[in-house]
Amino acid sequence: MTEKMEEESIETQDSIVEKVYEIYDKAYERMPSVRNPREAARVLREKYKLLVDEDVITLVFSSFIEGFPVLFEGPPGTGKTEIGEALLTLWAGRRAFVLPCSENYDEYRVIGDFHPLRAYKEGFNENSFVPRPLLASLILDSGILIDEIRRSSEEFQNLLLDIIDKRRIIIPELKKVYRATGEGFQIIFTSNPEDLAQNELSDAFMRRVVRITFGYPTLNKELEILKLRLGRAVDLYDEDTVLAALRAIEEIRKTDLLYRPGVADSVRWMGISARIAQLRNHEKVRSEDLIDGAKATLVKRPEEESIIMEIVKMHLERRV
Amino acid sequence: MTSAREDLSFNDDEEIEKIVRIAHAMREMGAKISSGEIEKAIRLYRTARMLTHYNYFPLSKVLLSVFAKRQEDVEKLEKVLRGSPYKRKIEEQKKEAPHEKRERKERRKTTERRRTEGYELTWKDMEKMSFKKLKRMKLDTIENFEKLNIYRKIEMLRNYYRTGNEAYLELLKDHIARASQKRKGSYESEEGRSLGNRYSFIERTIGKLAYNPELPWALSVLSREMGEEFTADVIKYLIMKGKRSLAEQIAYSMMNSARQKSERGRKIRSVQRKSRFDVRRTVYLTMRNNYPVPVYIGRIRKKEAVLLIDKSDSMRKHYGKAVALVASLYDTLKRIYLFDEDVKQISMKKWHSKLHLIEEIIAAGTSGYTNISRALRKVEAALKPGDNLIIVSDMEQTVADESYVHVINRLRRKNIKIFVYTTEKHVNELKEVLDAEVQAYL
Repeated sequence: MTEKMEEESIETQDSIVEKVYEIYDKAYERMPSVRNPREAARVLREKYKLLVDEDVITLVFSSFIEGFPVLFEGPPGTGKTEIGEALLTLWAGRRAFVLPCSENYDEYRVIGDFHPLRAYKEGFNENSFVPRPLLASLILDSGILIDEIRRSSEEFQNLLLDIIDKRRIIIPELKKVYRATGEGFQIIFTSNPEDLAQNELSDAFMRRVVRITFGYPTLNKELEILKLRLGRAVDLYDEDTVLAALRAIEEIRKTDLLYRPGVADSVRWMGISARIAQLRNHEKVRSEDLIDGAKATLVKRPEEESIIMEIVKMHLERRV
Repeated sequence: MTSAREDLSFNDDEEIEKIVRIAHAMREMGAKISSGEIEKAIRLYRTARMLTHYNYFPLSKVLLSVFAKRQEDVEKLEKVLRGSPYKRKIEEQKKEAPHEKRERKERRKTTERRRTEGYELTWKDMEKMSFKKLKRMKLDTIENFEKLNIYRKIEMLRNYYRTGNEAYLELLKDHIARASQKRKGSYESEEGRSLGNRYSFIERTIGKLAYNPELPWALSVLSREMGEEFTADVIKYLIMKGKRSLAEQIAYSMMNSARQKSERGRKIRSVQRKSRFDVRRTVYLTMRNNYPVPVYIGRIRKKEAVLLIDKSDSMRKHYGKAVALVASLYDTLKRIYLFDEDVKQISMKKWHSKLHLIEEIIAAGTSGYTNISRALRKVEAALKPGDNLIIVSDMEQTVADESYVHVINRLRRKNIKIFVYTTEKHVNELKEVLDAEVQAYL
């Protein structure tokens, strides 16, 4: 009741706040907030089907308490984005915003810009202003995940530094300042340092964030993730088959191929292979199902197909 | 709940000391760790411990998150945590600290003694002395300054007689003129402003402007100092710096523009504007790159070329040419990659000078086998249609892989323009093998 009253009072105060609630409130709905690391690990496992180390959650939540933004770094497919989004959602008690970065991002795309026709007719005022995700997350007191930060330009990174430090956004055109009202407004960045086609992060940026690295999981942990993610489909697999497939994935990751499969890829491979086996009326998943599944999920570049398939076949045959 | 947490023992001083010691050891190894980061680690560690059920959180994880910004920092941190020689070093340092302190005290005492006892500088002392050093040694008396000034003048004269180089004489004249000017008053005051000093002031301001063309105070000073004479002063400055051809180009363009302005009407002026020099940017880029870079209004070049340089062992003879090529193409380069069997990206920040970049490329050195196909495949992800790719290589692949001709053709199908700089030996071969649009240079 009090929350509603608070919201109502905010809405009457400012037309931009009102606009933010109108546009984003339903899309990013409220959820119960969880700020205890152990409880969060349980919720992540049961609700989001994510297996996250409790230490990682503790470190992320500690950073939030101390007001430091977090940077998740690691190879693709290790769950950075998904885990980041889930943690922000649990912390803020509202679905987190996700902002996939690109080189031409600027303040108009993330904070807000002016509707061209309205601005032409009515001028650059609050009526013609369209709030964008970063401003919306600050006003709604929810978390924001800025994905693949290395793809953005230096100017954009510098803009974020100012917002991170002061926890406020200035809109000079409207002569307005919006400040973070609660603890919910937190930022997680993700990046893959191995990717070649991107910019480097400046020392100033790195100094401000708490960096948490993600790597490929061990065989046992990946098996556990598979069981968690696939649900009943796991029953279609012999344990030997799953282990052979996971060993194949492990070996592909050690090669110098351009696309190396992440955990998401292994889950997708197993899931699709199980579906293929079901469609073919096989009781258990066979080698040919896995090979067809691998072609569909693991091969991303035609020139790398022969190497990948060779490794997969070798491991599946060894099992036999 | 909070009181229970507060009750849990947390020896702040011990933990803080531990974190600080690790940070110092890492700093010694070359890691950049600020005091802010140390504070951040302490705060984070304290909060993380409070959040856990057993009031325990591994310190290494916190340090890894805060101190390790790059892979090399991770290795340094691991070395420190493993209790490597660095740990011993810290212990030794701790033991040595009082001794060092004593030495420092003694040193300070002797300098103070020198000052109070009126230590006299000998002629031999002057050789290694500078004004800064005098200040540092607390010998900054007026008498000593004068002595050093006289010594320098005599040295200039002596050098002139020894070498017969007239530049020494000019230097001496300038030195004397400057000294007399200083007595008259500051060059910034109306009375004390001589032509020589005005130019040295302008030179310094342009120097600042050359590193940042939008620097507000430099711009305001220049506009106040020179008014409309800015271009003329820039020309004089460029001549002084040995960039005569560029100065002539600017002067010629200015003359033309002035003549056309007077001869023709207003309408033509806007057309002429496009071929006019952007004097500020020209000075900026010329100073930064140390070679003339004329910039015209409305014609700023975009950085759109990606450079791929072969650094394998076979390029040893040609590496100098490759570096020279980087220097000449500097303004158009978006990214630079070096490759042998693997590919490495060279960091190109806005504030990196050309010299820095060249030094980095030279430091990479030539070693390893050549795998052009792999390098091209890796760079492929970084290229967009319409980009230019410049390959500098002897084009001799020494690792078994698919033919680079296939990869180049695939890139061409993506509408990527490819220019190959290769050795004389391979130019004709390449022109035959590769498509006509692919250009091979010597």
